[in-house]
Amino acid sequence: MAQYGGYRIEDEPRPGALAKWAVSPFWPLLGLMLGGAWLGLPWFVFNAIAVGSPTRVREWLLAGLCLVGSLLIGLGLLQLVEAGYIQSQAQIQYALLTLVVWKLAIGYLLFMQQNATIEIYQYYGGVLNRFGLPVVLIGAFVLKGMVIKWVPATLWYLVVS
Amino acid sequence: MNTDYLLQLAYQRLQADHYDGAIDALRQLLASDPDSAEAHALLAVCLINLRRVHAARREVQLALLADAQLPLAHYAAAQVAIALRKFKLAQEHLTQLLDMEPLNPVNYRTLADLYQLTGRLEQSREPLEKALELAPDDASNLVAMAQFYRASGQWGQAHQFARQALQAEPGHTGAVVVLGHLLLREGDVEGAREHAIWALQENANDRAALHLLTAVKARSSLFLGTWWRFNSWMSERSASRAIVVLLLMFVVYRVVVITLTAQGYPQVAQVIDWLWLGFAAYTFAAPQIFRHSLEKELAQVKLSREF
Repeated sequence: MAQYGGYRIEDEPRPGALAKWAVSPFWPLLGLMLGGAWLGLPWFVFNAIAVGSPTRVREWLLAGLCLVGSLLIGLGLLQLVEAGYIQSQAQIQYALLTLVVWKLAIGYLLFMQQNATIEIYQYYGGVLNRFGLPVVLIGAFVLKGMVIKWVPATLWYLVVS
Repeated sequence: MNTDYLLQLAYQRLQADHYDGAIDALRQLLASDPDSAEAHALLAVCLINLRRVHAARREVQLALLADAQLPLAHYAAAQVAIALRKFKLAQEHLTQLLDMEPLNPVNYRTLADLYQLTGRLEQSREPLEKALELAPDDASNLVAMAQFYRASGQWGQAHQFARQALQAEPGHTGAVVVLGHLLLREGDVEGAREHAIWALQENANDRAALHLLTAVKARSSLFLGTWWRFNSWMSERSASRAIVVLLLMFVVYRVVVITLTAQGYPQVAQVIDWLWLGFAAYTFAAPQIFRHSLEKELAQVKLSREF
């Protein structure tokens, strides 16, 4: 990667030894959509470290917020089910939509935040790894079932899926 | 190296649209003189041109901190505010700028841009005329007038000003692009394409020329055309608004599917599911196809430059 030299501009990444594992943030986003939070969120966090994102702390906080928010929404939904407010299949699906929208919103925010850094990284000659697609496929179609069944609790399913 | 020399070098490179070179010179300058307000402001202008808005905003803050009375810092601040769609803030900086530099046509053109972006097309006529009055032979002023008349639907006058701009500065990219758009409107797709290539030969990174070329490509394909219109519509919104729009579309889709299934129309819901899947696949594939065809066009431009 080209040396920046002299003065450093605020939005420029500081890639380290892990930079060879950095991928386009589209893949963690797709991982979040197809595989679940267990795949997408840690991947965004790792990518931020790998590329040396100047906004990595903000990205980690967003990933953490996504998990905490999912946990709270999940707990709220379970309370509503127990109280009998959510009963029919359609009501459950409407209720689950809030959780999906929450995760997608944070996923898009993370994507946009990280994409700006990755574009600059590539602009100065940084090369992205191409293992994104296989990881998404393996995560979504092979590992997802195992991760979800790892803890036999509805709350776990709601948070990590 | 002398800081004055580096600053002049940066100005020259910026004028030639060589943003990387300008940034390199400014990096060297700021490494030895980190408090240079002018260097920070100029760096912000370069970064805005490369669409690095957040870094540009930081550079503007540093420039204004170092010298709050520097016109260039207010100009850069207005550009950053426009890019961030903070139009009120942009207006404030432009008002200060016009007080400081009432004879600079660039400032009037920026004010006109702001008016046009905020849907005040007719109001933008006055600053554009003022800019033209200050520098009647400046090709950029003539092009701005051509763009104004094109936006107003007065094609004849748009054509006339674009021609005048080309007389003032042969090969002016902006004028060529306006003429290309006028040809495209008349249905002359090949003529518009030639103008886009012509403009890209002058400057291979010109965004307006690329916009024209992509519009031409989109016109020749319904598939890409739909994507182009959707993308343009989305890009007119800020990032957060675009996210909201996408999520709203998703929510509407899901609510419709769930409701239809619950009301006993699972087959209709299935059709909508497939349509949504098609839409998702389309938005994923279209940019790749589009970029590929664009790269092919640009390869021709590179060849012509060598020629």
